[in-house]
This record gives sequence, structure tokens and C-alpha cells, in this order.
Amino acid sequence: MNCKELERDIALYAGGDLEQTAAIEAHMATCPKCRELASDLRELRGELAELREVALPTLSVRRPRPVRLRPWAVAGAIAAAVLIVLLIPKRADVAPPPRVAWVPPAPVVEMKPLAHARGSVARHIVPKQPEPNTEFVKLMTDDENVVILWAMNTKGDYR
Amino acid sequence: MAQQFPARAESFDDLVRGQERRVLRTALRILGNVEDAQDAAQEVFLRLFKYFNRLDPVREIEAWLYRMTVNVCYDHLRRRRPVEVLDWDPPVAATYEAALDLADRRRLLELGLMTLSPRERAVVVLRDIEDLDTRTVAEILNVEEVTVRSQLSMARLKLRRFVERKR
Repeated sequence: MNCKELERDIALYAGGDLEQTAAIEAHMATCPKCRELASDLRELRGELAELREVALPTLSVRRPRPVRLRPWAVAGAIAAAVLIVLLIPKRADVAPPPRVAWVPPAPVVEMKPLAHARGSVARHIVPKQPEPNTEFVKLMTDDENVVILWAMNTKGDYR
Repeated sequence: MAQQFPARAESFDDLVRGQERRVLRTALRILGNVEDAQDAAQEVFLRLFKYFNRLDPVREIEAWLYRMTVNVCYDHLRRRRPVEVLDWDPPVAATYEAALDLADRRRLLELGLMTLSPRERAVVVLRDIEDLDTRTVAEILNVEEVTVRSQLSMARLKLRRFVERKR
């Protein structure tokens, strides 16, 4: 076996973790490079062991204390819950939603170029049937001058 | 039903005082910085408190603490960005300069440890720093002993190469 193939065994040998040591020792007896590797690894291991002695901060872990429910805390929690319930606006206080009316589909108009005016920007209005799946919802607001028309594509699975 | 052990001679607080250095040191070497190590150690002792009465006071505590420390550290490393976790290659110029400035081979070794994969690092920490035998390391990490030896040899060679390169 060459030195490269023995590297990993030497790494174990240097830490006393190799069971069969005879072959490695026989090789190292004739190979200064592998002896040097083993020596370096032993030194490295000694320095790693010194990391154990490094100064460490003190940990502030102590037994977790059980949580006790104090009477005043319980009373406070109940009072807060009651207050929240009282502050929620009653149904009559809330403004009603806008009225909604269904409006049948209306024809939509589309601009088409005039047949005899090729290249002209002139347009005329051609009625077009709305998409078959389109519905319109008319939202009546409190202001009679304001009406909201809402076009919906009803093709889909939300109905 | 969980096995009941006789009442402990030492309290939880005594146990923490006796073991906190070991846990913190192990976490520090795996995670690479004190803040994360303190967080990890806190978590380990909170878990210990939860399972305190279910552990065999004589045989299990130390191995349990090492196992829990390694697992909590792995969780921390997973939550970090991947670049900080697996096979992190430190910026050579910066670490070299830092090592020179500190003139400290210990710092170089600490940096070298962070170039290892988390599993290689855990093996080196338990075997070479904590001085546990390979069979105990295998039990703690829940792997075969041959796996420990394989990772150990690879990690030692990587560390040696790292230190030689930076000297």
C-alpha cells in the first residue's frame, strides 16, 4: 500500500483508534513522511484537547418556576374580557350594507372601423352581445346619483 | 408507563451546575460562537428538566446530555443559512489575517473545526475534545462505530491540512 492509501489509518492510529496497528507501524518504520504525518496528527489531537480548558461564560439556567395564577391576575383577565364584549358594537349600530340588485345582461358596444374608410380613424358603434357567462350586479348606494355596476364572469366554481 | 427511578441524590439545580460547562463547551465547539452555544445549552437544560425523572441517574445522564446537545446544535445549524452549515470554506485571506493577528493556534483550530461538516465536527468534539471513546461516541450519535472512525479519520486529516495551509 502506498502512503496516500494509509493516510486515514494513520489518522486513526495517531489518536489510538486503530485496532490493527502492526501494518501501519511496519510501514512507518521505513517511511519518514508517514511518521511526520502521525506526529503532526498527535500534536493536533493534543491541541484539540486543550480546547476543553477554554474559559466559558456562566450559564443562567435554573429550574423553571411553575406559573401560579394569582387572584388579582385572574380578576383582571375577566374584567378585560367583559370590557371587550361591551365595546363590540351592537348589530343596530352598524350601518347596513348597500342594497344589491341583479341586473340582466346588457349589450356591450364595441368600436369597429368603417368598411369604406380604410386607413381612417373613423369608428362607428356596433352592438355586441356580452359574454355568455357575464352577469352584472347593480349596487345601489345611499346617494341616488351614485350607482355601481359590477360585471362578473360567472364561469367558475365560486357560485 | 415510564420507568420510575429512585429519588435523586442531586437536585436539578445541582445537576445543571455540575454539567453546564460540559454542555456549553460541546455546543460552543459545534456551533462556533458563544451566543448560539448559550441558546443551545439553555434548550438542552429545559429539555432535561422535562425528562429529569425519567432518566437513570447513574448511567444515562451524561450520554443523554451529549446526545441532546448534539441534536439541539444540529437543529441550530439547520436553521442557519446553508452557507454557514455544510462544508463552509472560510475566506482564506480573512481567516489567515485573523489567525496571524491573534497569533493563536487555538483560534486556528477553532476556525478549522468550522470547516468540517457538522457530523465530522461532532465526532471530533466528542472524541478529541471531550475524550470519549469511539463506542460511546457512536452510541451518542446513534451511528455505527465504523462510521465514527471513518468520519474521525477524515476530519483529523482535514484539520491537519487546514492548519498546515494557514501556518
